[in-house]
Amino acid sequence: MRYDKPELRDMLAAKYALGTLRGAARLRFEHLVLQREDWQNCTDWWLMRVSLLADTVVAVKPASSVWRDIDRRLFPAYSRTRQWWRTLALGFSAVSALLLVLLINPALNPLQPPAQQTQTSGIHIALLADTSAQPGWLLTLSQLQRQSQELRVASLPGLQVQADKAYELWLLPADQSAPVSIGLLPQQGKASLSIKPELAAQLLTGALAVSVEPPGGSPSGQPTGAVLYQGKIGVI
Amino acid sequence: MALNSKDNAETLILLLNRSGQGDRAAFAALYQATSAKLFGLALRILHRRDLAEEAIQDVYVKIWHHAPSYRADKAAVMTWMTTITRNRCLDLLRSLPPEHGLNEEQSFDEWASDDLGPLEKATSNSEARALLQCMKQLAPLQRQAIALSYFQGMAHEQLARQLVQPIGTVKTWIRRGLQVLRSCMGAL
Repeated sequence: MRYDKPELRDMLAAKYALGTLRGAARLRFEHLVLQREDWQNCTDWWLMRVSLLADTVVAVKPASSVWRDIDRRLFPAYSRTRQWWRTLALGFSAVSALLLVLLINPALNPLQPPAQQTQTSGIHIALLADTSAQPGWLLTLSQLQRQSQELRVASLPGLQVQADKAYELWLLPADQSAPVSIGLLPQQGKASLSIKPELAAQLLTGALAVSVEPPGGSPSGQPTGAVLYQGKIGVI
Repeated sequence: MALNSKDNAETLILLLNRSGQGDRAAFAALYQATSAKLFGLALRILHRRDLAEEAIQDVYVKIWHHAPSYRADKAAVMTWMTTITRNRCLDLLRSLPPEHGLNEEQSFDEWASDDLGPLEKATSNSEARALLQCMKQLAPLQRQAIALSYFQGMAHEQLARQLVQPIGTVKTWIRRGLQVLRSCMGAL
């Protein structure tokens, strides 16, 4: 076979992605794909297109027992107590806080050469989750710059929507001083909150909490309703 | 949340990467964001709820274990997870005894209909809607043959039986159908 013909490559990749390429022909194809980048790219193109067929099915939420079983299979020891979320959240916070201190304060970090002081690698993100570990929002902080910072917020499907109420995001500073309002969080879709420069450093060391407030936010400047979600910014 | 925009795709990459680093909260969020569509796919292939639930459990266990090897430059997260789901479901389908008759129970008439409206309605992703537009250029039975290959993993012989056509005809339908899709989607 002349494997350099693009039409042949294309048709084999399409049939492979669809699944009608079988037996020895399929094995031969898989072997070729490993050796040739153009074949690999062509196959990726087709796999992506063919997979779009899956999007035409009606979405059906699985029963909650499905997630419990996945959880039990992956983490048998923790699931028995059903408390691992809290342990994990605390553990993660402590580890990421330490990491962050090292990152933003390179003088303390024996591994970081001083020349890299101005660079902050990684992406700053936080997941805000409720006490049953249901995540409500994903937050990403724009890369550290001296001036303005931006907190991008995406609401997640598990978020409990509060009709006629607002969710307000608070920074709980590491020094235990009073919570500082960062802004209102969207109950669906996305939003972007600008962060004042003086809050930027505290945002990385402090914790985050979300309270339920009247529309428009807390009238007093301090949280007035129940705190339903919490989180902490970490680096990936 | 519709998982169509670029930002959502980036969110899924973040969640999957963090899952790969052992972050269970990110994994839970990934499950929240994707499980309904993948469970819908499992139901479409396996038809039975208990089997689809079994498959979806296997799928997410596999996703957790393989998350560190995911490469964003090769495939979108949904493509990657969809492929894992489809493969697991088709394996399960093939492992069932023949008298199970799942293949026969499944109807794919919606793909042979002139009106793809119901399919478009379920579609959340703009690229998938574009694919449906391209599918409209195919003959109804040609669309059905492609859907049966994808959702039931049917080989040419089975397709020929199901669609009551000579095997050569079915092969030609699929080959030409894929060529049409190639030029239609390549032009988008």
